[in-house]
Amino acid sequence: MKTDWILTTGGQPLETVRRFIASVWQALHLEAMILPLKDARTAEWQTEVITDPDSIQLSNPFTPLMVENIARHLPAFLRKHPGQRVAALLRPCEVRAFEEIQSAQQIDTANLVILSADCLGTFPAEEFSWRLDKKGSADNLSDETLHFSRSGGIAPYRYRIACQLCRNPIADGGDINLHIVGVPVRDKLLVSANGLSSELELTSLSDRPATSEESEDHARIAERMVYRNQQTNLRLAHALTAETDLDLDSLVDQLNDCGPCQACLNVCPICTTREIQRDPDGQFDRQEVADWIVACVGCGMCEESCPNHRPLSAIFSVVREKLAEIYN
Amino acid sequence: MTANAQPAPKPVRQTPIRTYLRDYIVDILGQVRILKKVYPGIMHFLIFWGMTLLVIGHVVLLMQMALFLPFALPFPRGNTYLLFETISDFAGLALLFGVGMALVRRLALKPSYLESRWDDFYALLMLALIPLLGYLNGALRIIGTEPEWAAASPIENLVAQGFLFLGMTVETANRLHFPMVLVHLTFGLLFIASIPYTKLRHLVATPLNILLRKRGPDGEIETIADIENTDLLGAGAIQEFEPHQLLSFDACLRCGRCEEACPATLAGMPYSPRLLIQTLRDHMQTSMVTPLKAGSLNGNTPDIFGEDYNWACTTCGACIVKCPAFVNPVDQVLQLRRYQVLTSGKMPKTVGETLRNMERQGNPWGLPPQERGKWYDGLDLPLADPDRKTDVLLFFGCAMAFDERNKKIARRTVEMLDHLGIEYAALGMDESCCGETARRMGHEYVFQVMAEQNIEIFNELQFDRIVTPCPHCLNTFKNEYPAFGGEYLVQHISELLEEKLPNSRQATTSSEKVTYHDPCYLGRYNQVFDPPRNLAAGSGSTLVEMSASRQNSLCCGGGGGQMWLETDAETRINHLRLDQAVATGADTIITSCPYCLTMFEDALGAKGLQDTLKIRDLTEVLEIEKV
Repeated sequence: MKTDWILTTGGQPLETVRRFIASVWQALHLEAMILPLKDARTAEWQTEVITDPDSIQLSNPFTPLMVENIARHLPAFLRKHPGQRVAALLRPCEVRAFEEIQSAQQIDTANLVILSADCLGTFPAEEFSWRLDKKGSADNLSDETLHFSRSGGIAPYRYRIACQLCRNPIADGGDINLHIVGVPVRDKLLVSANGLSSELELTSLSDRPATSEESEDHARIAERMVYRNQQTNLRLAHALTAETDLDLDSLVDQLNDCGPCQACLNVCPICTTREIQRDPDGQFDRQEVADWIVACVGCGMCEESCPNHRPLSAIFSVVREKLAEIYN
Repeated sequence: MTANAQPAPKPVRQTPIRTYLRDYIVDILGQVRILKKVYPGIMHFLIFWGMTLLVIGHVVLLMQMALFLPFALPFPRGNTYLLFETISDFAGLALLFGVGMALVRRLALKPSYLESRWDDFYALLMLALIPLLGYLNGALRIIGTEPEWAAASPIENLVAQGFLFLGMTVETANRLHFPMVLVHLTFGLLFIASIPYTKLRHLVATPLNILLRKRGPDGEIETIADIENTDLLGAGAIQEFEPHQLLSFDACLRCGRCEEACPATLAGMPYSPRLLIQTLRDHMQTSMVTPLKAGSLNGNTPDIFGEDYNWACTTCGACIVKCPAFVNPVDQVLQLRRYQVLTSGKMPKTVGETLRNMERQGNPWGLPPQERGKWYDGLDLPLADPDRKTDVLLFFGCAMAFDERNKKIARRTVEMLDHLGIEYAALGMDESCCGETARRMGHEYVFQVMAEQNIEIFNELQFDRIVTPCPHCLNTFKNEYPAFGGEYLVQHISELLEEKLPNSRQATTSSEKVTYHDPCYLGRYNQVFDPPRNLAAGSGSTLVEMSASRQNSLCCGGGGGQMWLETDAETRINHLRLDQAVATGADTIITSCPYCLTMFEDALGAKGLQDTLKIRDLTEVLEIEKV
């Protein structure tokens, strides 16, 4: 039986997480970590590589903002630190993306430790920025999100479509997973580990093992979130297929019409593993597009980057489902 | 009132015993709400009392033998016994008469709101058969035992005389008596056994619901207590409703009074409070066999209600005050809305936009908060100062501050108060939305945050009372803020003006005929009917009432977030209400609510009646010079 552990937070979930990550760094003798950080000067969020665990203080895995899918940078990050023990702090969709990249490029990840945290959803950039204005700081903004982690987050209509459609917002795929869903974060956090548990003494880094009730509460609310997102998917699929004949062919036509713009392809982590060729007329190859959509992990960075604000998360999700039916 | 005091901890209301007793006597035994309609009221009264007296009588009869208890009752004897017999006799007659009235109603009168199902006829059949068998047994008893006091049961006696006339003998009577008692007993027990499976469940469920219902003012939506630690936000599946809400679904008798009063139904929308409750009830039944999955009511695809169903409700409360079983459909609508907004995300687009406006700009119009102070440009508005005590804290509300038409009302209100020399202070730019719209659109969290912010601001000031021209703000401050520790004396502007105007009857602009529209949140929810009327009907003008007024006033269609929801042009509630106003022959409609004002202006424009009929706020008809 997989054991989960508890970190008591004493009303300070964010500080507890930061301390925990720093303690993991020490225990594993990490040399570098890639994660989203707030730039001290500009207060903008960006992906950075840190070599000093003190910089973890500038991080906040619960910030409801996703600037890019970090998985796309991991191969280069690993190449820059050959033979060194390094870590990455990833959202569940980034973990999924990295799994795709890893299987496509056969990357050796023996020295990579993936830390992942449950994600309650992220706001579109514009919404994030006015909410940030109201709350004063990103920590305050994530505090409000954390308040409702116990019930799996509230008012999902505010988040990015990709987040509302997310097929699994729970951190299951990392080496060390931080759980907030179904957990009263003012009192505690739930931590689980895959594989590293023999090496990493989570017993000493945490406060106590979790009771089965605590694990079950998390699992129950997690299941509810997944179910809710599935329902949103169904609803969207219904609406989109009722109004349009959305399928692979119409999608390829649409992409062809986009002209030279490659914004969505440029930010997509899956596109780092393959070249989506365009012929001399700029037309896409049907099979390549199909392979791409099937491998999509639903992070929604494409939609955020589209200059025409097309609802790509929804479109890709529907086409992906249709392709899955065909392939099965 | 509680100036500068720490906010009180959330009060736990204990219902005093005398309230339960009052409910029992007035609403369960007296059935005053049923009696609001004369025919069914009398009909039910007869059936109820006929049956109750007979049941009590039978218990007394059974206890004449030491059957279930080790003793027999030593009463009634002598004249008391004769009285007992007579009462029982007439009780049966009352019951049969009531049943007769019911059959006539269902078969001949057939009012439009009455639904007839098999169990309606089953119940009437049993309620006729059992007393008829009772009379039969009574007649057989009289024939068999030939008592001297047979006349004490006049009807049984009459039946007995009838049987004798038809040739029945004493021996036959004696032979038939016991078997017929068994038949009577069988039907009686069948009646009782069928209670859970038929409409007869209301014998248990309805009195229980009347006693165990949510207490507190009608204008208060149930709070989600401890919202950060609650698993369940709203109800997406039937099991997610509170137990007392589930009980209310059983208590509903499908009488249809709610549907008759509902503005959405009357305007032609596919929504009906009766259908809502009955659908919920059906699902409650089904779920006992197969638990329904989360979101099965309105979060899934397909789902039972559909995304738009519960958004037709204006939360006007007409259904709440009409229901004789004290079912509250508005609370259930809110449960569904909360689920949609807070949990599933499946809701009309305009809801999300309005809620985003409230979060971002602090008002449902989505106008920049900096514009809140524009309306009093050029006016010397006295602003509240924490160091200075004032009588009235005047809270204008978002409608008065942001809506063009209502800004004029706000200015006029200030002029009037200044002219009257009333001591007041306003919050100016520090005023923020009362949060009522957010709550009624289902976003309980935004509401709670706004409420707590406002209470913090109020508690820093010193005032005797909050007065507001907006009935929605009034309702929320008065009935909903106490749950968050904000207890204040709250009044509507009309109450303040009535108090301060020396001779209110002289104060109005002369007009031949005026009619007054009771805003739901002022009248029905907070019982303020007369102050605006006293002010509106001055010398030289006659006040005519619309067909639906005061407690029964028909909603303007603007509440419950409707102002920001898209409604089909064919089913506009405000058009319906305007028709009612036109029917009075009045040339001015007066009201005292910014939403009602907007809805009427809208309807006047849509129907092209701007030149024939005027809509005015109360403050616009009061002549300042005259006050």
